[in-house]
Amino acid sequence: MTNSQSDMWSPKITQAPTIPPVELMKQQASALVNYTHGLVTADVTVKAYPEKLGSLFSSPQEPYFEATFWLGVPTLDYRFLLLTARYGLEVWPVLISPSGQDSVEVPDQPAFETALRALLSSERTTKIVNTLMAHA
Amino acid sequence: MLTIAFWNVARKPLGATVAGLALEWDVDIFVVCESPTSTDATQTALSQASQRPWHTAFAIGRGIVVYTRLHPRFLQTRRELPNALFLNITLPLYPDFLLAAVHLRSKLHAQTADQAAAARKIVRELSSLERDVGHQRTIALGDFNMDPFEEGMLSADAFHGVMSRDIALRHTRRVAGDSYGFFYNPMWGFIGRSSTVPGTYYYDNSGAMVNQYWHVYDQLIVRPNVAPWIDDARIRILTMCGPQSLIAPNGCPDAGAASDHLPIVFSIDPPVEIST
Repeated sequence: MTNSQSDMWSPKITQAPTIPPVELMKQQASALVNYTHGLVTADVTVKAYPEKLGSLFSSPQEPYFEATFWLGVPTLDYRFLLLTARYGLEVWPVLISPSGQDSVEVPDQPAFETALRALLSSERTTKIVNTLMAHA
Repeated sequence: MLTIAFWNVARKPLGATVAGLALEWDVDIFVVCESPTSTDATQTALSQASQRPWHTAFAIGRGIVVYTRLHPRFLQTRRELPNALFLNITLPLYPDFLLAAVHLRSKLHAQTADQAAAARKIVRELSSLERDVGHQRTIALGDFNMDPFEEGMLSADAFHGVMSRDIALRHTRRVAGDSYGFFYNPMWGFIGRSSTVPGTYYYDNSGAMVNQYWHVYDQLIVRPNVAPWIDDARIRILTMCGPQSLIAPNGCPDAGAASDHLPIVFSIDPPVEIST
């Protein structure tokens, strides 16, 4: 593709990434209220682990981000970690770690969406949400 | 997942720093000892920093105080010693577990034998409690005022905290005909670690022939049943609170601006229990 005269950027610049995993997670988090009417909520928090913190880990690590998907019961100040998604500066691949289950690495947005859909719609997650609803 | 922190603030008014750490590390339960700050003030600082209510779950005077952002109904005190507080924590979707918060006497006021005796007393109480509740899902944390290799931490009839997860998973060891339960002590791995600070506490005993300088007095140890919940890579000795260093320019804990002990933080990821 040829750049127009007004566009002086290199065509070698990486194409803008697809929707980042944290945004996809936030979209799903906000959708939960449709089912639970606020008795159980969902929230996504992001924490950056910059290089300077690498020395605090058991072994030096690259900087990375950790997006955490929480289910919450506001009446109890209780929250339950449903999954974490870890990714580096280049976003993809993403390591998805559902709470209490094995981690899986996904290479791109479609694979992430497939994995997230499978997790959120699973019988296990449904039971978790329903159990939390029972406590609310 | 649950995140738990411990800090001996060494009689310094560090409520705001405790709150800052709780926010930064997304702490659910914060055990603080030797705080001169009132529990109300610390609880308020925690609540203001996180913009959500924190509770003072339990306290032995100001020696050991347990703050939590969890609803207090999830934490029940089961037993208490002058140097230890035993809580049962029951959370939705997770198996209940015991949390023992301990603060043993300093070497300034206790001999090695005294510390080991105190450790044995705590373990006896804990073992009795484990029999009462019918499980051994136990986490003990605090300022043990002993290194992992000292008698009170390692002896079979005391904490029996071994450095190997695999050995701990044998659950018990027989010594002279008696069976003793293990703890797994992941803090062995923090002794003299080159990639971070060499310990949680620094004491320059320069008049002594043997001078270790750094110690790992602040520890968490877990029963074998809990070992799979712990990711060693998620145990941290903290050296910063936001932009504030907890380390002085000489590389030691900043006892002037903060504490002579460094805080520790870790996460547990218990298995999810879903009723069918």
